[in-house]
Amino acid sequence: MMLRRHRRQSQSQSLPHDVVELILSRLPVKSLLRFKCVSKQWKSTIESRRFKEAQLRQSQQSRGGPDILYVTKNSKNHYEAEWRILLGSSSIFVRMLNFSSIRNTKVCHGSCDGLICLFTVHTPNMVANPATRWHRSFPLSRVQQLLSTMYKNGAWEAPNNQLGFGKDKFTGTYKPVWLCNSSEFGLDKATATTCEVFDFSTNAWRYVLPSCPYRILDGLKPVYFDGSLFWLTECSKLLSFDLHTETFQVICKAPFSHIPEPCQVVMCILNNTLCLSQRNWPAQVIWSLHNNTTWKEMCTIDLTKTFSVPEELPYLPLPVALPLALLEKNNKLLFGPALDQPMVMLDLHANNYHNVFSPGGVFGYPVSHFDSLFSVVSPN
Amino acid sequence: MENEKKMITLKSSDDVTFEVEEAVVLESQFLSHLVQDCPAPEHKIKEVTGKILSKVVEYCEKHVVVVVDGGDSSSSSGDDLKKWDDKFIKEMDLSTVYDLIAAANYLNIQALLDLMCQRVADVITACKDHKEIRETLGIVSDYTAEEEAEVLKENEWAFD
Repeated sequence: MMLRRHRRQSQSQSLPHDVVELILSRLPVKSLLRFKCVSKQWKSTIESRRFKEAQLRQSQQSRGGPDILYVTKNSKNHYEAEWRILLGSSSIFVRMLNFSSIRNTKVCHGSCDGLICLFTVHTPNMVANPATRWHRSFPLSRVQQLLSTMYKNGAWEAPNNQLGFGKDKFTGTYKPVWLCNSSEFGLDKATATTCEVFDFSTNAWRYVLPSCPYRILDGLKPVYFDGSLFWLTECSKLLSFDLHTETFQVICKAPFSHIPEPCQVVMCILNNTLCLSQRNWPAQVIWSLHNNTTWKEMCTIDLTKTFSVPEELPYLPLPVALPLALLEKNNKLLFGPALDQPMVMLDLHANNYHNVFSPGGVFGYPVSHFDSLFSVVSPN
Repeated sequence: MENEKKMITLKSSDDVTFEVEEAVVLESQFLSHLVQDCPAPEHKIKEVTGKILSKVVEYCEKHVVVVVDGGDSSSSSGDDLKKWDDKFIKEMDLSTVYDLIAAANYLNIQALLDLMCQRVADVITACKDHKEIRETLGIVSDYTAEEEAEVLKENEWAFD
């Protein structure tokens, strides 16, 4: 990038605006919100799409790792506590995020451009930017409404559908996606699944046709990566949904042959690579996907070293450990916390484990996250 | 056999010349392309003044990876370099910092750009409010009192 240098030498005491962006992109989001008061020019810079992208890129590059948001509904305030945890040469922030106004909140896996998405079947869904405190609610999908009725009628065995949230990379449009198996809802039996996409510009859900021809593994959270959302099918295949073309594609077979229980598998993004992890007590293997074709075993977590198994409740299903980030030049894996288990750092070389954070009896869901200035704007 | 070090001359916008080793020039992405594409002994950099170019050269000479006799590859140790950087920026007034940012961006010297931008970012962060930022950086507000109050209100929580 070349800078234009039209300013006169006599004005060199004042900050030339072409370097303002370079400097501001290094400041925390909260400071940037305050600094909108400096001048109109600063405000319009900070609010420009280009700057938002630069700021996010800068924070991803300069930070040792992502922040961990711990989305919970147990504490009093929306934005309550945060801890800085030093991990060797890097540090992470763990922030409690509370959305007690939404009953039975679930969170989409990970954050997309610093936006997190919350869903339930009782109240409208919500997309929020925890760094700027911007948020917007959006209505339930048609299938969510059916689920709501099922719950009201006491159908506790109702499907455990999970919302996906991601971005069309080409247009920058954010899209919540609801994909479910049709037969459980008595929907069109001709297609195995039903897919709905929410359009923020019209504030309405619409069906995607054709939907995916394979039944999906219900209960597994889809993950967003590089312009697509990913699910697993019941026949153990990795499925992608391109958020630009809105088409489904089977990518490859999962690295396991039998159909796993949804509670034993988790998908995640580590080091900019799509990963799949399966728990087979007492071990949990993580594979990473290469060239969209081959799975490479990345590491194995020994769950006995990290999770405490309550002896009096041997039947209680232990959660699958959720891998959150690779830190320290990919030498350390951060995972958990699930349920009330601690967040753990695994040194992949020394193979030792240590607990870095304990949620202290608070139930929540961890989301790996970078602060940003993004929000969902609807084109007028 | 003694290795002859290749020297390159850089000339600033105001015709101040600097003779530097090629390795020093390679710290700049822009100059390393220039040197490769156009193997002249002297390169004029019209965008940068002599005062600023001397700072750039000083920085790059310190940060260049030195190949010591005997084949050991080393640069100044990390701690020493950091101390040197701190001293380097401490002695500089803000207007020099701005010019150096523009030069580092133009010459594409990422480490220098990061160092200088971080210096201004630290200055900004140390200000207690937006008024002090304006004073420190010489920015004239173009807000009316009402407009400013409105922007303040919109982002009220961030001032806690």
